Amino acid sequence: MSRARIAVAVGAAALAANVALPPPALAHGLVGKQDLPIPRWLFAWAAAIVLVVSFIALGTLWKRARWERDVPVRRLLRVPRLLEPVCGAIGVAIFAIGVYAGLAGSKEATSNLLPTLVYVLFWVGVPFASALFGDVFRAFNPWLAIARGAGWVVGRLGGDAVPEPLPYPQRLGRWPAVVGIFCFAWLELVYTDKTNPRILAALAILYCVVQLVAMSLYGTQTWSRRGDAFGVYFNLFSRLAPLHWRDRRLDARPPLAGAARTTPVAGTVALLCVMIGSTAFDGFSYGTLWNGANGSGIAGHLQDFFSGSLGMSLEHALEAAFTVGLVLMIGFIALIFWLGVLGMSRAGENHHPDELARRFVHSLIPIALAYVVAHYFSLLVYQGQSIAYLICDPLGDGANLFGTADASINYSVISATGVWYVQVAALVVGHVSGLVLAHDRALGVYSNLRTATRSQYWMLTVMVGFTSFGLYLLSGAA
Amino acid sequence: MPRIPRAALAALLAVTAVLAGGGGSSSTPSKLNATITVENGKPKGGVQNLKVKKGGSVHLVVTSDTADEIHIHGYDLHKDVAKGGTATFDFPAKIDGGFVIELENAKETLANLAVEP
Repeated sequence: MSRARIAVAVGAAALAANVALPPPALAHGLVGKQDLPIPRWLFAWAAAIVLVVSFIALGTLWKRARWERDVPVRRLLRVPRLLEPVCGAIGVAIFAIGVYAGLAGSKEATSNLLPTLVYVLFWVGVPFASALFGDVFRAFNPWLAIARGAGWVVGRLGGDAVPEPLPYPQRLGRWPAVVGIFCFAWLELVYTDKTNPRILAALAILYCVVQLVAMSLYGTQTWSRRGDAFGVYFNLFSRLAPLHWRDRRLDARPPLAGAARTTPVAGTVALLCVMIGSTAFDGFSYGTLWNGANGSGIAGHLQDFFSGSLGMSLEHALEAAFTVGLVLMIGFIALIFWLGVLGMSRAGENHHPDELARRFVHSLIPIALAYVVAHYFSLLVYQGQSIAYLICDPLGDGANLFGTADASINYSVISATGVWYVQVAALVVGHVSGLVLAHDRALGVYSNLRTATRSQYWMLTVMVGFTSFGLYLLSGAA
Repeated sequence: MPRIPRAALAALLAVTAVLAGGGGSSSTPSKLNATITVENGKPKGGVQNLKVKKGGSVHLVVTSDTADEIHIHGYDLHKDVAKGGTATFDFPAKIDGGFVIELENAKETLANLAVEP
């Protein structure tokens, strides 16, 4: 039954691709070259591969949970004590240079270092690095480094006078991170003046100050693991990595295994939905369905409503329209996951949907990463190159600090076909990883293999849904 | 479990059939001859979607009733156009991808150029 349903779902998505129109590309703030929509034959192959691997996975995956207890780790090396302050200082220096460039440099987004630093290297580059090398951001995190440094100094000066941190409210969980990531997504995808270096610099300072205050209230460790939006966001991706940094040790562990150790505190489900939903909306908001042929898409109608009925200016009406789109997309992602969980709760053994949502939410981490890779890989590869000339001339005033100020972006580094393969591979690998994580968790949740497998028909449907939707967004059919 | 691969095979065939059914894709020209007319700072007839095969050539003529600069992103070609004047571009399509052709100072998209592999 489920199989037939899945085939129908993918078939429907494929049909949608058939009537696809080319997406009207918008002039994105920083981008010089845009991805072409994936062609139909690649869409067909990807959808077919996803179906085949899913069915094979159901039949051949292991029969006893592997990651529910401590996974075997292999110690690779001891991390020298000095590395922590050195990395922290580098992080603080990069932060200071970026903010200074934003405040004092050119107002032109493409000649100022800050917008590229924030939207390309930080927002897109760090997730890639985290998924490969573990939680590297924790070492370079500037606000964490400042807090640690301050703590060290206070300790030296006589730490007895320092009051104990407040207890972190359990209900809060990862909710501060949900708010932070949603605000950043709003800034990136909705706000009109998003690449203005002055505004970005001011927001960076504001964010840093809020983190420092919160860390001084709730304790550096607690807040940085729960409330620091970027720290939490990058940490989730790092759980997929085969490397694990902790207590001045570097361990090797099986890839994905770290995700199974995610503590599903309050707000974790919402955070994953915001992560996937915002990336999905970025893809969707470039499509025909949203923009329409000549402003007749969903965005245009919403804008008319906000400017006509509510009397907003055209610019604010468009922002309101995009806000609605972003929120609805996050809701859509949450709905897909929720339907899967609801179905799973009826598979047997009386598990409450809330409990299942928390216990299976980690299987969405690879999906979130797959969406990031599929949507931003080319941005990192092409626009990332611009750092070569931006770092030489961070203010955009004609300086040439390292002699590479005349460098330009080589758009032939990887062909359009190469980008397609990376995008599709990311979705397929993310899909399989999500299935594997959910499968392993099901073996821990359910008392017998039969019920576990039955519950996983539902997670499989959810994963096929996310993957087909990802392919659909890449195909330019939306 | 012999049933699983068979079901998968059936699904694969179904999907491929659906997609192949919609085949006969329009072939992309290797020579692109395009004209854009800018009226009141906007492209006449809306934003065009231009297509050319990678390795082909592009001949583009832009006529404008406002003085500005025409910018082809990615290829980074810039040409000034006077009020009532014309800017002509001739270049080989050697980078594949999607590129915006923009009326630079007005920040108005004139056309999208897709160079297909």
